[in-house]
Amino acid sequence: MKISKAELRSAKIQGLMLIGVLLGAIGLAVVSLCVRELFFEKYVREKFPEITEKVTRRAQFLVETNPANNPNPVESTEEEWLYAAWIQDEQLDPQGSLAQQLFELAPEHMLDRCCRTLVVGNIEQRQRALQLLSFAPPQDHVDEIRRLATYAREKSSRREEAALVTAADGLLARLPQGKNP
Amino acid sequence: MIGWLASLLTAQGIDARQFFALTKAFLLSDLRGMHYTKATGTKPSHVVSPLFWVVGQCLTLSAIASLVLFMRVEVFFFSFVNLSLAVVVIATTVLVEFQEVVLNPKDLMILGPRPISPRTYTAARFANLLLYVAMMFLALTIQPAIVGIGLRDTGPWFAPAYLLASFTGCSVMVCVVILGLSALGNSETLEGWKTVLAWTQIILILVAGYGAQMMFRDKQSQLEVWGAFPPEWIEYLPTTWLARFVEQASITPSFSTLTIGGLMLLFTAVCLAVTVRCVAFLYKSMQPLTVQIRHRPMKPGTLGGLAFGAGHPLARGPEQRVGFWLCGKLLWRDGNLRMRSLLPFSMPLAAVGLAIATGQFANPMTNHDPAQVTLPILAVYLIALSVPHLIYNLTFNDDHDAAWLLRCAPLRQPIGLGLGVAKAVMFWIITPTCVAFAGVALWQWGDPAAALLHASLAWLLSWVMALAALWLAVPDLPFSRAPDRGGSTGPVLVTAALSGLAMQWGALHYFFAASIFFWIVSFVVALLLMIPLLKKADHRFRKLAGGMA
Repeated sequence: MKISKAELRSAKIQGLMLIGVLLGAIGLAVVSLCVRELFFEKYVREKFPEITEKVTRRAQFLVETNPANNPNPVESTEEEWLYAAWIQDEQLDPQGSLAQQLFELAPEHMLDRCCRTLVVGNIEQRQRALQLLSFAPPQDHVDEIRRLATYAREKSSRREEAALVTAADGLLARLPQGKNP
Repeated sequence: MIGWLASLLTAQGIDARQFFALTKAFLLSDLRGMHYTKATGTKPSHVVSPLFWVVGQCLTLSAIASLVLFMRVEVFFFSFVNLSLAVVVIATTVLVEFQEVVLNPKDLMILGPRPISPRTYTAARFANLLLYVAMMFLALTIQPAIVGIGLRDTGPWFAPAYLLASFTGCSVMVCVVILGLSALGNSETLEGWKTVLAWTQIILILVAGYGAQMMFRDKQSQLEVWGAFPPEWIEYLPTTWLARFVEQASITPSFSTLTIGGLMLLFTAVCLAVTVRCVAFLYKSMQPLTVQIRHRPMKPGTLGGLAFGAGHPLARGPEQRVGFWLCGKLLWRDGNLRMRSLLPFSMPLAAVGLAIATGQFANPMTNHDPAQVTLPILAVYLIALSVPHLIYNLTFNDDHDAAWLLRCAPLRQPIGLGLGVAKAVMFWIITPTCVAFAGVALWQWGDPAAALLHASLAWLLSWVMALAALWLAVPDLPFSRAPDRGGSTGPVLVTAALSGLAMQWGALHYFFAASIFFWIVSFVVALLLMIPLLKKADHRFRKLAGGMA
């Protein structure tokens, strides 16, 4: 069957072409849904630099050494590396000694980093960020901590991440004059 | 189906045969709408109509916005961005195609002598408007409505909630535009704006494309954080209210949320009823609108000269002055020409913006980290590489019929026309761009010498590229040809050759920027290149003007 140019330009064929394009768009959207885990969710996480052996040893040293007697305390140049190590290693610093040192050194920067991880991180990273946030001294930054914990709770609640909701509730309950939402 | 519809129309006092014929004619008029021919690079006579490309652009825009944000942001920000895009784009499409879609005064001249009742005409016009708006609405809504279902923080109610919010936003916006334009009537200024607004989709696609690149490269994740903790002023935007509704309704909507949804539908129905009533009244009492033509003859004192003092020293000789004046005048007057010509400048702008936003705008004279200096070096050469494209595009112009004046004029030095155009480009576009680049570099680097050297090199290379374009790229005398499909891309081989040359120069820039000899050699080579390029361009223009075989 031969279709002339005039027929192709007719309202009927042009209308059919437009419907075809719209159907193609629906197909693309459905395919995107089907490959959600494979192509989208897989890459949703905060990217950290690779942790070297030297950083791991340094972090471990800071965890095990009493800050009062430490001749070589945390320096500002180490914040980023130590934060990355803390978020990525779930076994590091269960008592929060290193976390407290980091918050003492640069509280605003640490809160900002936690905020970023809570926004763009995957579930494991967000869990660690919330844990790190729980070691922040609440007396100086109570509003900011409450804001971040509330955000983390709402986000986790919508995503049905029960462990994170519980952690956020616990943190909010411990805050001075805090209200459990 | 058709028979049932015909019976219904006849019962309403509408002539079914006339209705179908008119609707088909209006639909064809939509498909071949003239306002989008430049922005889509197509003509009404082509098989793939301008409207088809417009729908394609809307789908591309919504696909980029949906897929880039998918899984990276929460449901509120996802909905906010997509709803805002939909509302803005649908407003511009209705505004641009208002005459084809809503109200065309020329209808009266064509249909006036025919026995068509106002009721039939009104019904056909509304059917056409409904089809057009429905098509744009679907193109802008369908992808985010489906993709959003896959967000982790939404539920099964996302799709209906998003469709309702988008329907409300788009319908109200269409009503506002139609009522506003109906009250305003036709105007010369509005026609000029329509041409510029026809580029909205292209500009938004560029913004979305570059924005996505910036988002992926931004280590600070500023956009995602901004979306998670938006500023307070955002709460005053109507699309924020709609996005908040989607956020609340997408997971098991409460009774109050459902009530809000019902109120939204009611509000939309009221807006539509008011608009239909007003426009139906207009259709019934439509009179031809007149366009005021303004005559602006050149003042006697400016005849044969340029309108500002620095013009004469810049453009020597009558040919250069003609080229200089025509270039400035047409760029100022013709929105299409301006958009087509200035589009390549988005590349250096994007490179500088991206570099600053991602903290990769280091001084190449002191820093040798390729990640830090690639983008600033690239920006220098992208400024220069935009010039051949610009000069090439200045051959094409809507008022090309008047080019016979140039062809008949006694041109002693035809190259003067091209040089005048090139000088106008350097004066009005490149010089401010380079000054702005120097300012940004000074702000970022704190090194006046480095900023000045980079801006000067960009300026000098732009002039070299302008001469090269006059020799190799321009197909005819300036402003003498009609804009053609795909014409804005320019000669591919010339662009590739000049890009290759510029990139090699850029590689040397990276390796030797710290050495003063690089700068001396660069400036000397650029100056020496001008001599043969000027001769070649002169020869080329004599051929174009018909002076030499």
